[in-house]
Formats: sequence, C-alpha cells, structure tokens
Amino acid sequence: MRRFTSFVASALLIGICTLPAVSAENDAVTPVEEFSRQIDQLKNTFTELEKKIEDSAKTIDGMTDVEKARQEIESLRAIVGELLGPVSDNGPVAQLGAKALRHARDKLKSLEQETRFTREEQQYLVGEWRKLVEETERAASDLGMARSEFVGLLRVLQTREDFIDELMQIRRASEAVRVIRQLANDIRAASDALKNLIRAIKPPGV
Amino acid sequence: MRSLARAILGVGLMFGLVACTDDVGYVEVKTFPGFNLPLYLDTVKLEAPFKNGSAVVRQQIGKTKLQLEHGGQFLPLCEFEVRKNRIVTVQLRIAGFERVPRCELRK
Repeated sequence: MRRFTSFVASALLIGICTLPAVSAENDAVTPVEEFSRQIDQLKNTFTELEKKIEDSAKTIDGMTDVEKARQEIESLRAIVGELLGPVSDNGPVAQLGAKALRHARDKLKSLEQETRFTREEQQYLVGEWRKLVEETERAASDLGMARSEFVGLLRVLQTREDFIDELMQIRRASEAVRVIRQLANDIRAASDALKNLIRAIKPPGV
Repeated sequence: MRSLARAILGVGLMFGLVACTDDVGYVEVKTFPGFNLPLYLDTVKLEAPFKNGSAVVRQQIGKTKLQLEHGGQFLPLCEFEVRKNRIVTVQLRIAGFERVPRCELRK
C-alpha cells in the first residue's frame, strides 16, 4: 500500500510537471499534427489573455492610486510571462515546432528517394509533405514574431514600472500618474498588434 | 506510520508543485555575427536556434551565470539576477583584439 501511495505521488508529480509534453511523446500522432494541435490550444490561450490585457489597460487608465497601478502592472507582467513561456526558445511549443519541422523535412527527403510507389503517387505525397514543411515553417516563424512582441511588451511594462518606482522615491506622484496613463496607451497599441498577430497564426495542415 | 507517510506525501506534493511552477523569468541572449561557440546558462546548454543571432529562454529566478564552453572548459562571461516575470537582455560584444566576448546587460 505504501509503495502504491508513493507510486501515485510520483506519477502525480511527473504528470503535473510534464503536462504539455505528455502528448508529444505519443507515437501514433506525428509531431506535425501535435504541433498543429498545440498551436490551436495556444491561440485560445492567447485570445483569453489578450482580453485580460485590454481590460487591464482600461483599469490602469482610470487609476490615480500609484500603488494600485503598480500592482496592476505586476499582474500584467505575469500575464505576458504566461504568453511568453510556451513560445520562448526552450518552451514546449517552440521545441515541438522544431521537432515537427525536422520530422516534416526528413519525411520529405525520404519520400523523394522512395521507389515503392508509382511516379504520380510519389509526386502527390512529396507535394503534400512539401506543403506541410512550408506551413510548419510559417507557423514557427509566426510564433517567433509573437515571441518578439511579448518580449517587447514585457520590456515596456518592466521599464515603466521601474520608472514609476523611481518617481515615487522622489515623491513625484502626479508625474507617475502621467506615466501610468501613457503606459495604458502603450499597452493598448501592443494589444492591437498582438490581436492581428494571433489572428494570423495558422496551424500547419489545417 | 501511515499518517507520517501521508504528511511526507503532502509536503512532497506541495514542494513538487512549487518546484515545477511559476518562479521563472526570461533571458534574451544576443550574439554577434560569426559567433558560434556553445553557450550555457549555469550548466544548461542553450540549445536555442539563435535566429538572427538572438534567443529568448525561460529561466528559474535567481543568480544566473552565462558561460561559454571552449576546449571542454567553461568560461564565465557574466552573472546576473533573473527576476520573476521580468526579462534580462544579455548582448555579447567583442571589441578590437579581445578574445573573449563581453556582456552588456539590459534589465
């Protein structure tokens, strides 16, 4: 029983820590399909969080309490961190993208040398895999652009937050409020750019 | 005995959850044209593709050392603090006759 309990505990821990990676290990699904599925899920997450960013910009815009505004900026950083995590270069989706691309290119190469099928069959398969390679490359590049946008937004948030801190240290509350208003505009601009970017991301093979 | 095991399990799960969740920040590493030595954050190799010479990686918060590996040895380049949900940019530069790149940090 004790052994069983510790097995369950280990399984739970491993399960919790490897949530996004588990399905990637499934042999029945090609890495390209898995990448496509993950992008679909990611787009939903992006869209939900995008809404939160917009709401946050609205809230910040009306604020005169600097301390509350700082807390709001801090939670916004957490949201942007959540967006950046999966698409960072060592994040699960970016790594799956690299794996999918490798798989699609290898598959294309092996089909080009295939002799089992008729010429028409081979050309059809090669054509389809070539399309998949292109779409996977495009999706990976779109995620790369999203990564740059999130990095940019995170940087704006943290430098503005630091500046507000500095202003508060020299008791310049009204100047800090002006900076907060300006930040709300910056966030809205970034949010519009993100919206277009997220809409444009297309999973391969769809 | 069983209640002790349960307590240990509970604490273990709690620590497990903390260990694999949120306390992370980001490091952006920018290299210069022609740079092709393997880089490490602490002892973890940066496998990132360095598209256009830059990569963004998730990193546990705390003091982090950027090192390069040359001839099987680690050469520390700089040390910096990674803070929760913040990004640190490390730009590598090489000047004149220097053999080892220097870090410029932007926090």
